[in-house]
Amino acid sequence: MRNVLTVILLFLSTNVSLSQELLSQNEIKTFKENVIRQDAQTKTIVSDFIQYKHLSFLNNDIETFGNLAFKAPNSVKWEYTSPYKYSVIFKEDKLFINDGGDKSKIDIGSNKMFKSLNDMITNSLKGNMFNNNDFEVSYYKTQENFIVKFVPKDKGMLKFIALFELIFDKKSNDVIEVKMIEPSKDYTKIIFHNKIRNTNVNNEVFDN
Amino acid sequence: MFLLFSCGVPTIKGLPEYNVNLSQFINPYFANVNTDYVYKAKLNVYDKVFGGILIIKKLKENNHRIVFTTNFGNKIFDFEFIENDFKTHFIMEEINRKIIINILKRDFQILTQENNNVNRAFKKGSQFDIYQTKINHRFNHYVVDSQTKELIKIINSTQSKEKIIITFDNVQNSIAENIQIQHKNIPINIDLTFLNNH
Repeated sequence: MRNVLTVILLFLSTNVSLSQELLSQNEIKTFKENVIRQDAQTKTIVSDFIQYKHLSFLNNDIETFGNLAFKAPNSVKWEYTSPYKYSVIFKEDKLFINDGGDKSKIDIGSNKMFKSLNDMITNSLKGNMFNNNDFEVSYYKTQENFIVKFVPKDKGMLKFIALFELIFDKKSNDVIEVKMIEPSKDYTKIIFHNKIRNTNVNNEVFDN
Repeated sequence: MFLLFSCGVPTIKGLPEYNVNLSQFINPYFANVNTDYVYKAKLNVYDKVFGGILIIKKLKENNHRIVFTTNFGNKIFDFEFIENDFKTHFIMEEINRKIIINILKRDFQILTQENNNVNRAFKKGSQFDIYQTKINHRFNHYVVDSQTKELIKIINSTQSKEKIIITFDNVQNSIAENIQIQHKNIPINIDLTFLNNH
């Protein structure tokens, strides 16, 4: 029985590694160009998302629902709507927080952690984070997706993020999923849906 | 009479004591291994407010895992109580201080410890029973509604002073939907609201 299980596991793991293929240098170049071109033409993005927090010891992942809005050059609103209300707005080097009605403001210019959080959110939303010197970047493809993996270079950051993955839809070159994997293998997965580029987004969306 | 009780902790001061027929008090709120206890948490520390998610899971008898994350899901700390041991699986560099860990450890031990040996029992009018237990040079007082037998509060004290008050509200199916952890000697308060995860 144990041998059968080993064979099945081996088969499954080989299958997974087979299904994720490294991109060639040419494929990387084309893929990057497509994403960068699309990003340059993007004035706004709106999307819904579901966040799954996976902790190995829980029966179920913790699901949180929300939506987000981006407006060029650098306004972002990230909002959780259910089962709790919490939003952050990144605007002009400031972070505005609304935690179920409790509002606060943080100057991100002075806070390295929030600055990198902002960069990460904005760039993963846009898909364009290839020029980030903080990560070791590698590129993979499956039948339907491109997968870009980012391993932090900074030892301090490695303590809480082992790997950061962006999963792109091959046809649209849009990020459809973000995954942050901790050294413990617990992870946070965010799946975007109803993502629309260049629709009208009012400035008031970014008022706290 | 006044002199006899004046140095006692206010929780039980002047209350009639009775012979307890209960050797252990069982805290029912984090006792089900099949439940993921997920709470929206608000920590008021001095003048600052930190929001996040508190996850409590009973892994087996006398074994609880307690994780606090930001609203984005990043872990702030990850603790485990196993029997009388305490393990830190993870803690953010910024709060990795012995004094902070000790405060959190004490709070969560009081909150989650399931089996508690009862030392003494008191009656507060006809409304409440108070069971006193001894823990690490301090006392825990389990305030229980005499009619419904519901655990209302846990009051942690020294010989003379109340130190930590945990209040449970809106109990549904042995889940306290609102929990407040209040410190009497330091400006740290924690508010928890249950999130229905599945």
